[in-house]
Amino acid sequence: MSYLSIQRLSKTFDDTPVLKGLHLEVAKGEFVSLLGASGSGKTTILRCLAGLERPDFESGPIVLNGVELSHKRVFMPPEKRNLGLVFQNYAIWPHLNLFENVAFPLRVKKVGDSRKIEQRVNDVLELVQLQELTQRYGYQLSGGQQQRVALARALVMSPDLLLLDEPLSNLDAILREELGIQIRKLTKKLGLTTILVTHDQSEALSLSDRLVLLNYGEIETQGRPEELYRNPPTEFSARFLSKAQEIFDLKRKRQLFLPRNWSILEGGEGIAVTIASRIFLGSEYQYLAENSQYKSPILFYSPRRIEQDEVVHLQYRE
Amino acid sequence: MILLIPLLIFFWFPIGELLSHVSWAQVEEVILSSSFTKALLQTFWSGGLGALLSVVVATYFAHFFAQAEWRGQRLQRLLLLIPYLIPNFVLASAYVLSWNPATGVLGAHLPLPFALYSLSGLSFVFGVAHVPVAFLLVEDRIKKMDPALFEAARLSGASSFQTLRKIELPLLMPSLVSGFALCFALNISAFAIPAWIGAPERVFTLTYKIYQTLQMGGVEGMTKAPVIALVLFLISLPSFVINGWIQRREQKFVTVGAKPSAKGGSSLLSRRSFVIFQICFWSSQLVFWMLPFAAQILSTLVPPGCLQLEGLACLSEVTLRSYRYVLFELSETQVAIVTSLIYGGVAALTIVLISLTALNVGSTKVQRLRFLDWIFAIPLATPGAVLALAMIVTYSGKYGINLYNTAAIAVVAYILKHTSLCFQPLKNGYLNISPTLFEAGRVFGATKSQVWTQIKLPILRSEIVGGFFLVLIPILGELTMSIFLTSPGFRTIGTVIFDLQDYADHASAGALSVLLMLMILFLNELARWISRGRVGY
Repeated sequence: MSYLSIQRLSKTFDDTPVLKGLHLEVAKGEFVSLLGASGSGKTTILRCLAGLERPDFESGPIVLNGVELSHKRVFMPPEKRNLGLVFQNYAIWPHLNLFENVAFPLRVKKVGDSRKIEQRVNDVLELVQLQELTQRYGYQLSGGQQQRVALARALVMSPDLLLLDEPLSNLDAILREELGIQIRKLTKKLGLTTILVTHDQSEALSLSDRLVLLNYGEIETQGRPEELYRNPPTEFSARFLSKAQEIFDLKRKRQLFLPRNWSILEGGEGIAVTIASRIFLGSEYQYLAENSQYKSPILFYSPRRIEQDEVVHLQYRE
Repeated sequence: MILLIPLLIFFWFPIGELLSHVSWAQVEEVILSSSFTKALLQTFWSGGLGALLSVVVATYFAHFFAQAEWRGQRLQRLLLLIPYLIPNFVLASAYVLSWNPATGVLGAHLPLPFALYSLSGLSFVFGVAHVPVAFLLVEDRIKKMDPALFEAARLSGASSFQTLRKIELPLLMPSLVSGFALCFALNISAFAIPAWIGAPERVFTLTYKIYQTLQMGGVEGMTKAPVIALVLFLISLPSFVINGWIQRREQKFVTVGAKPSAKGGSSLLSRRSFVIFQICFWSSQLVFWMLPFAAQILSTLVPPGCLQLEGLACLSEVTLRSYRYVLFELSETQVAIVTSLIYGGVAALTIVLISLTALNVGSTKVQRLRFLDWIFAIPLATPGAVLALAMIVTYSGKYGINLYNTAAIAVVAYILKHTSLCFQPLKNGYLNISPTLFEAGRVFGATKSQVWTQIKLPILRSEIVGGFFLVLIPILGELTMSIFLTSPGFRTIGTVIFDLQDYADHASAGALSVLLMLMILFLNELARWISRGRVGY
């Protein structure tokens, strides 16, 4: 039996269905990413799990570790669920300092005396490397530090489930990568079952054990990130995850290509293409190449620098 | 329901009761009388001209305050808002002392181009009193405009005057109409200014007419007053409707730039126009209130009548006798100060509790909060004289409840009239807080009540304490309702000043006005300090 089970989850806002009878099973200790575009319903799933939204009446049960969180008339209020949630804007309470922000869940639930609370908070702050800044307020912290406070607050109660709502979206690229790795390490170390909501493909691909791709309130596909990236089972997943390119040949037949599957062939074999444009991406180049077989230019990537108007030969491997 | 039922009992029911006191025969009798027609016309003219003056002056000043930055700007802004902080009757009495035709201390050296006790004089004082109201509205609107709109016009070749005429003023038009409507509503509802400035030369307005009719007493007074109150209520309604309509329209067309509060236009204001602005600012403030208040303060420090007879030579006879008298010898003053503070405090505290209850009821639902805003705004828009009269006709024992001649009736009226003033900033502060802060509380184990006590109230602390002072200030300076609702056992500072003025004891009235002014300025600074500048002026 799975650790978290979501059955037929539906949610409608003002007659607009946002979630349409969605099923999801999560194993204990698993790191699952919910990936989708805006309006795909990923944050709504998280809010239904947290108890911040009530699922529609016809929804099936949401069960966590054998406990029913919501089903029909059963609705466990958010404060009883023992979940950790990192909000997109971190939601650091401005009137409390860093220490008190993290201690808040322990204080409202009256977990132990003040010495025990202090010990627990310090342990968690050490885990996220913030033990030096305990007296600071939210506005005195950088974006990365605020993110770590939010994470510490979510971890302090040893939650049954950790929910992350686009926690890295407000950070710069370097910090995003650094904190992403830190989150992954921490959840593994603590054996936490985690659900990450994100619209960033690379974030979902790099952090999760399993990736769930959402499309307008339904699960489009799910699986291991490598599998989905290399062999996207549906057209939507190919476009969303692998930037698949739709190209028409001269007979107006439509074909879908994954840009990463094109490679340059030496020795005059394959399709001859002329480089139309080149963009430097850091570790590689992105090219658009004109050719005689297809009506639109082919998109491909290569670490090799090729000059504009130069002719190369490409091969496509399924 | 917890909010609607008290409003029904204490506002809508009394208004209905007031209407039921009106019969067609009385309406005909009152409306056809020439004195009423004259008062109605004078109300319209003085209210309209005063509102026009307020809007024109306010727009000119707001143009600079919202778009430029300079050293001492905050102080200048506070000076501009002083007439708003000071009760109308203090301003009116300072004008009487300065420019009354017989003994005005400024009349000889700085005469007004019109007689003070006239329709023009009345309009002028209305205008001066409500410049800050229009200023706050227009300044806020200009601040919300994207400075790039003006920069684009200048880059397209428009001069600063063309930019003002073709871009800024058309964009501001809804706020100007809204400001005019608001000032007009305040002018026609005012009691103190017509009583001090209009009444001596029989330039009566409708509010003063209600007072006069009630003073007549007897059955005739009690039957005619509701008719006049009804007319006043009806002509104040369009202003409220226009304001609400324009505000809704403005919300649809708000232009928000990347940096909405950036004062990007400052570099576009020429040095010459800034110097002219400064000259206009200081000269207008001198005439509007600085010199009259200086004369008022000075008159309280010298023997009565000395300033009029000997001018500045009186400074050799400086004495604190008037202050000693009102503070330590006149028992009425001591009682009034204590009464005003206690009952004003009770009303302000109740208003804060009502506002918090409304926030709880409204939760984070913007539509629901807007509805509550609207239902609190109706009593605020209702002229004080109408509200007071409605309370009197309803709670004078007819339904087994007799609150007349008790402090309770005034406290209830203060609460009804001023709740909107506290709820609005509190609501805005509440809506500015990200709902995730409250949701985080729930997720991390706090119950709904714990979220209130441990998250919402501490975060809103500044707005709550500031809001308390924000309603206490106008309640302390309230006169229109107090004059109708106070009784021998319940006197406020305002009514005592009114009586002292009535008994021609100008020195004592002036001294008490100065003390009230200082008290209000102190409370305003306290509100600003507590709210870290978010509440107060």
